[in-house]
Amino acid sequence: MTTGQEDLAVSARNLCKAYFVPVKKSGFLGGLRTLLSQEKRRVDAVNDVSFNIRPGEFVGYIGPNGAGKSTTVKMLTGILHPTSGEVLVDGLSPQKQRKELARRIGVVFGQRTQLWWDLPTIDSFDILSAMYDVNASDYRAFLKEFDDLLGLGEFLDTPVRRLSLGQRMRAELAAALIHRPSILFLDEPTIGLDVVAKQRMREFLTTVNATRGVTVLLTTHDLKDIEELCPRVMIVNHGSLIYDGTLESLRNHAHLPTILEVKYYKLPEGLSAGSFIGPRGEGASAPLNGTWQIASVDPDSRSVRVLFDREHSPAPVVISAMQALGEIRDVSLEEPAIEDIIRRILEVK
Amino acid sequence: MSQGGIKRIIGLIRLYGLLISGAVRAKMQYKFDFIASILLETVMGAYDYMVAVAALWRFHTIAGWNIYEVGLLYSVSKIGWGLYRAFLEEVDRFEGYIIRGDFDAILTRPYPSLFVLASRNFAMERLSFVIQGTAILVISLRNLLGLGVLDWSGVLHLGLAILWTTLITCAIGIATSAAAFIIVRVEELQVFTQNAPGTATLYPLEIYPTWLRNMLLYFIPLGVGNYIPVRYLLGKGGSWLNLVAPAVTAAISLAVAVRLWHLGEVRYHSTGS
Repeated sequence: MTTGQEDLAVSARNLCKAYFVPVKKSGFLGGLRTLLSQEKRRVDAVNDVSFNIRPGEFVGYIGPNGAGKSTTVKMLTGILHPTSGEVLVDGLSPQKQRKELARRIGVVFGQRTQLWWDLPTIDSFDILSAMYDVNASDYRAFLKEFDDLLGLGEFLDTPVRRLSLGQRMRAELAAALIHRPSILFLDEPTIGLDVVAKQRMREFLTTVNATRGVTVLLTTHDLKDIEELCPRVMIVNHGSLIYDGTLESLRNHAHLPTILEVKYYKLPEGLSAGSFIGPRGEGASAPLNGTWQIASVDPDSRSVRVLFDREHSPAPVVISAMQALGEIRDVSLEEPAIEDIIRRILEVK
Repeated sequence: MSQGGIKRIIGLIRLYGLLISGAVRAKMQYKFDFIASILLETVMGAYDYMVAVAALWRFHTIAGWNIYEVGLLYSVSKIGWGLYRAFLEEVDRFEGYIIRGDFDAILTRPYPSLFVLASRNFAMERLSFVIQGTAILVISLRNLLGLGVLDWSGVLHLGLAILWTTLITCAIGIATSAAAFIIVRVEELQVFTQNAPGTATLYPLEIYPTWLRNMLLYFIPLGVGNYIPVRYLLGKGGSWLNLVAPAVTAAISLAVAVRLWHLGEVRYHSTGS
C-alpha cells in the first residue's frame, strides 16, 4: 500500500469477491450428480471495485438487488474475506485486524437486530457499553445525548420485541454509536420505515455526520435518502462500480431532460405533443440543435410541457421562447426523478 | 502472565457474566418453555440410563466391568456432555447461524467469534445431564469406595477426568460446527461425531472391534476422556500415563478445533440480504 491511504476512512483497491457454486445438473439423479460433480461456476459478486472515502464524507452506495452492495459492506466490516484486492478501513485491515477495527466502526443492518430481543432496551445499551469498555460517565452522557437526539428515553424500559420499527431503528442507530466509532456502515437503515420515521432518521444522520464528523457509508433503495443525505454517490451493478461522483454531476451524466410546464391565459394555437420548438417560439417538426420537444399539451388547464436539457439550455432561455407564444400565467420546473436517472445509468452500462 | 493479560481475562469473565445474565433473563420470559424442556431432557436422559441398567442387569458385567464401574464411565461422559451443551449450546446449534446469516453480527464485535457465540446463551436445561450423571456418580462411588476399589485420591482424579472430558467434548463440538462454514448443514455430521461416539463411550471400549476402539481413542477421542483414566483408576490396566493422556488430548483437540474454526471463519460466505 502506498503511504497516505492510512489517512483515508476507507480505501478499497481492486476488491473482488467470487463465489463458486456447483453447476446444477438436470435430469436423472440430478441432485446427486450435482453433489458429486466437481464442476463449479464462478460468480463475481464484487468485481474489481476501487474507491477512497475521506474522513467525514457521507457516501451513498446504491444499486439493484444482488449488485454487490452488501457484499462490499461485509468486506469492509471484516465479515467476509475478499477473493483478491486490498482494503483498509481507518488504516486497519478488516480481515487481519477485525477485532481492533470493530471498536472503531459502527454497523447497522436494517434487516437484522443487534439488540437483545427479549430484554428491555436499556439492557442492550448496558451490555454494549460493557462490551466496548465505555466508562460510566461517557455512558451517562451517551444516554442523555441520544435521548435528546432520538428520544430514546420514551422506550428504554420496553423490551426490544415490543418496539415499533421506527423506535427499534432509533435504538439500533444509538447502539451502533455507543462506542463513538469514527465510521458508520448503514445497510438499508430506512427500510420499511414510514415517512415521518425516515425523516427523523435522516435528520439524525445529518447531525451525527456534521457534529461528530462520523464518516458514513449508506446503502439504500430509498433514493430520497441519497438526495437528502449523500453529496457523493457510488453506483454498483453486476459487481462493478459504474459511477462514483457527486449527485449533481450524476444528473448531468444521465442526460435526462428537465420538464418545464407553462400555463397560459390563452393556449397558443398549433402546438402538439411530439413537435419541436425553437428559441424564438418558432415551430419545427424535427429535432434541431437548440430546439426542445413538446411533451404534452393540455387544453383543459391551458398548459404545455416542454423537455429540455439543463446542461445545454438554461431555463430562462426556454421560458422566454415559450413567452413568445403567448402570455404566461404560471411556470413550474420538474427535475428528472433520481429513480429515472439511476435507471438510465444502469441501462446505459 | 503480565498484569495487562490478567486484567483482560478478568474483563472477559465479567463481560461473559453480564452477557449470560442477559441471556438467562431473556429466557425467563418464556418460563413454561424452559421448565418443560428441563423435564423433557431429564426424562429422556433417564431413559438412556435405563437401557444401560437393563443390559447390565441381564449380564451382570460387561467385559468384566460391573454396574458401578460402568456407572463411572457413564457419569464422566454424561457430565462432560451436559457441561458442553450448557456452555456451548450456541456452538452446537451453529448451523442455524450460517443458514440465517446471523453470524454477520457476531463478527462485528471486538472479540473472538467463539466467545461472542458462547456468551449468547447458557443452556441451564442441559444441566439435566449433569444432574443425572452426578446421581449415577454418587451411587457408583458409594459402592466402589465402600469396597475399597477406589480411594479418595481416585475421586480427585475422576473430577479431573470430568474436566478433560468436558474439554474434549467441547473440542469435538467446535470442530463439527466449524464444518458448517463449508457444508452449512451439520446435523447429520453431529450424529456421527458427537451423538454416536457419546453413546458408545458410555460402555467399556473392550466390547468394540479394534477399528471402532481406535476411532474413539485417536480420531474422535471421547474414549480418552473417560475410559482411559477410569480403567487405570479401577485397576484394570494401564499406568499413571492414563491420567495424563486425557489432559494432553484435551489440549491438542482444543487447539485443532479452534484452528479448524478459524479456517472456517475465513471461508464464511454470509447470506444475501
